[in-house]
Amino acid sequence: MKKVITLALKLTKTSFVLIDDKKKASGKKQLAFFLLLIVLLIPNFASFGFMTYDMTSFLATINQEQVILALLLQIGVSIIIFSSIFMVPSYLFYAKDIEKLLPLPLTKVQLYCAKLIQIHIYQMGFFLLLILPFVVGYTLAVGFSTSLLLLGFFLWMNAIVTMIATSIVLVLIMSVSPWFKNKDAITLILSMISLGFALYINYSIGGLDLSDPQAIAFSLIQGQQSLAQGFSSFLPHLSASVAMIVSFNWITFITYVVLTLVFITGSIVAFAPILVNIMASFSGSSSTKKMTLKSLRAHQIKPAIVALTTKEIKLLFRTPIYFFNNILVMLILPVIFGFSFIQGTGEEMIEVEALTTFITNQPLILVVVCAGLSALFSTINLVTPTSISREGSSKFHMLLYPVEMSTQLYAKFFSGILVSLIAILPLSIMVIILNLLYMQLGVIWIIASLLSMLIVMIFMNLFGLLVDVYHPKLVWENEQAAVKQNINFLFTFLGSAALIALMVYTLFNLNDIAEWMILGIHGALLIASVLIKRIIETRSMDVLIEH
Amino acid sequence: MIQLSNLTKSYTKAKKAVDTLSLTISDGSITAFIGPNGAGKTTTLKMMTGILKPDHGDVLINSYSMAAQPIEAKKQFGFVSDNPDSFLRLKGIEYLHLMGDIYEVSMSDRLERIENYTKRLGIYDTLNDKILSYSHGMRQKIMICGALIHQPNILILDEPLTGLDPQSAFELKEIMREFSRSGKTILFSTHVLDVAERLCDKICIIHQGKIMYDGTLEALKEQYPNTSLEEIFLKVTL
Repeated sequence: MKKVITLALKLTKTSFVLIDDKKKASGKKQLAFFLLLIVLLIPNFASFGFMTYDMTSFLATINQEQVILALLLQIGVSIIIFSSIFMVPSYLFYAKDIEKLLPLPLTKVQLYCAKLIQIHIYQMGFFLLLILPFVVGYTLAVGFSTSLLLLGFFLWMNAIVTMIATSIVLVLIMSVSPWFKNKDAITLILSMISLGFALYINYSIGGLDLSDPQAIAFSLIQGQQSLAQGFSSFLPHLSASVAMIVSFNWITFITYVVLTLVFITGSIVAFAPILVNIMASFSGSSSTKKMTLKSLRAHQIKPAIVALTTKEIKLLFRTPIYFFNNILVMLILPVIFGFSFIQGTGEEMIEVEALTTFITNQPLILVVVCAGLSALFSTINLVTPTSISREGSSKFHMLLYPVEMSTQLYAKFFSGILVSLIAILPLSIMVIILNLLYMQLGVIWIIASLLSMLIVMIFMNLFGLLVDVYHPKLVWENEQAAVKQNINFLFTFLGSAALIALMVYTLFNLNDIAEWMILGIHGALLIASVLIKRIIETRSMDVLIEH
Repeated sequence: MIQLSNLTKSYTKAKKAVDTLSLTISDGSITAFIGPNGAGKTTTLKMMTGILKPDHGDVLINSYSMAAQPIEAKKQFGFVSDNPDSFLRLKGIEYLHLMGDIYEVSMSDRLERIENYTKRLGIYDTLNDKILSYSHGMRQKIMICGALIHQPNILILDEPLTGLDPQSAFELKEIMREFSRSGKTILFSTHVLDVAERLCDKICIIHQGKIMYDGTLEALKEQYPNTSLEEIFLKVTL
């Protein structure tokens, strides 16, 4: 057992990375980053804590405070399931340390247990961080109680059971089809599931006034709140735990503990050999169809710029991290907006009508709104501000090709434009439809709005590209670092925000010359785009070779 | 022909990674670039291929200057890096077609070459798989095929035999010999002195950024009679 715990602690320590950097960021740098994260989270934590405090205080006046604990249990277990479906495959099957662990003189049960402890430490760390503000809020309101201890115990047991169950389910699926050994495919599927789950939660809490703790409390007591119902429908087995928190019973509790321990021990002993065999058989990607003459010829000659743009798009879609951060973000915004409408009360349509009336009176607003949304959509996808960074250690290929560097960079620019269009194209169509239905502005305003979107989109993508040419993050081991830990986003986002602020200021403060000023801003953007194009054509090779 | 003249590169002020290095590699030869770790082999190869910019000096590839005519110079050679972990989410066949498009290879030529080289190196059947699923050796092979797709006049390889199984190493050496026989030039860096001894017409020993020896193996052995290449290498680089 000592061997297993030592190994698990070593695994946890060596795989814990906050900043992904091949040069291995120092302990102080990691700690500073961690503290910064905590500081940034304080406002959210404080608001959750105060909300829980207010709700619990109110419920305590009618002796119903344990409803909060029951809800916390449901939310807690949901978080555990949510984190398990990500952590278990990552640490059990796709981890880089597996190859080093398998040759060690350990039994399969020891190996499985060491990995489970490693996952459990991460999971509980993540979980405690999320649940802490609620627990603190509850304790401050009604004081420490045995019910709180029970809650902690049930959550702990549930975390272990969920983790083991997830690993078993995954192994069973993988045994049935080798396709499921494809890390990229599994990551995509799991992420889609969790995304669906997140959207469901978003949908469930929609319409609830979070600023009114009493209203939330009443909703919970009445049991009509869709969030609570949603959790229960996801996790029907929780009823026993919830019942024990609200009304404790020793017999039920002992039965629960015994059954849980039997499940944990039995599962580890029974499934460890199968799990370790699956871990040993991992290739990271499934084999596809065999090469044939037909598939060899199924390609057409493309000009370099088209071939390189196609490559960029393929890599963006096929790399799960890029797909989620660069592509899906463009698809998800309309979905979230859609959800708001579906669950809406009809007030949104009134708002749209009011807005369209407002725009009809002052059509320049439409141009500014379109420009702002175009700036937002062109920035938020992060394609061009990370286009060089994503090359990482493969950047040398760019310097090697007998193709002008500007051509290669334009391929990256076009990939950014294509991704931006995922959101901007529907937006353009929406503007036309809204104009036909409500605004009925002159064609010139619609053309101006569409042109504005085009100009801003071109500028923002060129600007992002320029930022990454001069400041690429090339040293990373995990693709996530190239996108998520890349400060270039901040630079481009600030640029985008400044542009929006300038247009809005002009619109509302320079009434007499607003139209000319907005026109001037667009002219300046065009000139800036030409200048960036010029820099890319003349300086990019020299700049990139120096990185 | 590859001509390096007074090539110099420093990463820090204290030390020159490559120090006024001049070298000529003639057509139709196989030249091994050998030296201890940190000798400047990879830095030289990178400057030769346009990946690094020299502080001083120039590289001529078939008379095209890497500084003045980089596109023409780059069309002359194929390069295989020591790091084959690139384009991992492209399928093998997609990577080769990408190389074909970049080097403007006609479809008939590229299909013939893809079939020839991938079959010889034993990766033809895996071309529909993503490079991510390949082993290190297979990734190395797909990169070699990519470098050969435009039938360059010059082939530059950085540690090409690392990770290759014996059969593939043999095939690669055969491909290199064929290249050389058809009048093309091959330059490769290696730590395996045995390979250098058996395969090369010429040996270039680099140490602390300077060329310590540049000539045929026979001439080198004449300087150090009754001594193995390994012993000569140790003497020259000590």
